[in-house]
Amino acid sequence: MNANEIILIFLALLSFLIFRVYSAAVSTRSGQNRQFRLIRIKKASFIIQILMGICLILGFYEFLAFLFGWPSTLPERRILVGHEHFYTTAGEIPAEVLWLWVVQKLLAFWGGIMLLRLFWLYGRGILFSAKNVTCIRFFGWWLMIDWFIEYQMRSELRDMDLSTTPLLVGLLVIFAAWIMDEGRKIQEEQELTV
Amino acid sequence: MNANEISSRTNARLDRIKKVSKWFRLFLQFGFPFMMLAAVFQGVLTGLQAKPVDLSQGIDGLFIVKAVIFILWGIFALAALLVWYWTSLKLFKFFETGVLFTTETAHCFKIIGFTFFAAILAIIGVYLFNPLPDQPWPNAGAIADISTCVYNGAFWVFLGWLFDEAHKIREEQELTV
Repeated sequence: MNANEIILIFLALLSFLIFRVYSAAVSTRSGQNRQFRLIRIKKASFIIQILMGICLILGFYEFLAFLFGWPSTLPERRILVGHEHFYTTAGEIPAEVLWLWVVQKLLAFWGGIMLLRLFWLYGRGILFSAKNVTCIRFFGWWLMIDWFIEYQMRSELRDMDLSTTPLLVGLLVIFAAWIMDEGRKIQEEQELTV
Repeated sequence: MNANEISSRTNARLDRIKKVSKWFRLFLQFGFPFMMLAAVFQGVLTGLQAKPVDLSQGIDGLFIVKAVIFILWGIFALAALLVWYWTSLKLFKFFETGVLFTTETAHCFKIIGFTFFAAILAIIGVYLFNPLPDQPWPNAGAIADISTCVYNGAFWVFLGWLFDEAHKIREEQELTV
């Protein structure tokens, strides 16, 4: 991560905030109705899909570039493991840590694709389906599994200053997904009731 | 399948949600402060020394200014943590009473998301007050922590906004004849 990626992240936040302000302004003029809300959700999802897609493509290229020594788009390419272990090439990383790092990054890309799928579903107006719940639940599990992989990597490097926040956040996300799933099933059952 | 079966299934689901939410709330209410106390106790036992406050160049020697900024940063970080803690408790209490997809729960999701953004300022403070000698600011560790907070915060805020919109869509549908 470097200043370019920070800029990308802040641009994403800024786009979201601008979209919110624009939508709030339009909604006070047009009145609030179901169709307009869905359009707003679809527009926000579309913007987020674009930004996430760009980040995923750039990130995946940088991952392969680091592994195979390809030219990088970044001015300075370094991998940080823990607080003190910097590596500029894949060859510098100890073998056990390298494999764990590769698994961690591949899992992160899969998580990114699942999030992209989630926002694609929102973009189609599908808000609380079983597929949405699967994506959100995967995000929660990914946070927790990523923490365990990070724990293993830090163990190999004897650098155990690790926060447990991702575990707690992962649990909360899984809980939120479960609540959505139960709420969806309750609503389906109520719709069946005559 | 008749209406009684469906109704009992719905009640069973709601009961399950209430029970699990209660256990999450109890863990957060008692377990989280215990974890924080244990972390503080561990820090004291291992004899962590507070590093001298070291702000950006140009204000060396301004001890009172540094101390005030450090105290204000500490209060801000504590306030953000307390807001997150209080809002999470409130959210689980809503779920415990069977209130699932309302404006209040959506509001809680958004506040939790914004506390992640507030944590960014706290993280910046940590790395500024405890700079690593061989890593210029912004260093990779700070960037990784900040980006994690940004992604988590954005996710929670978006989820809260989505809940709110979906709740309003459902309300408008119910009003439609």
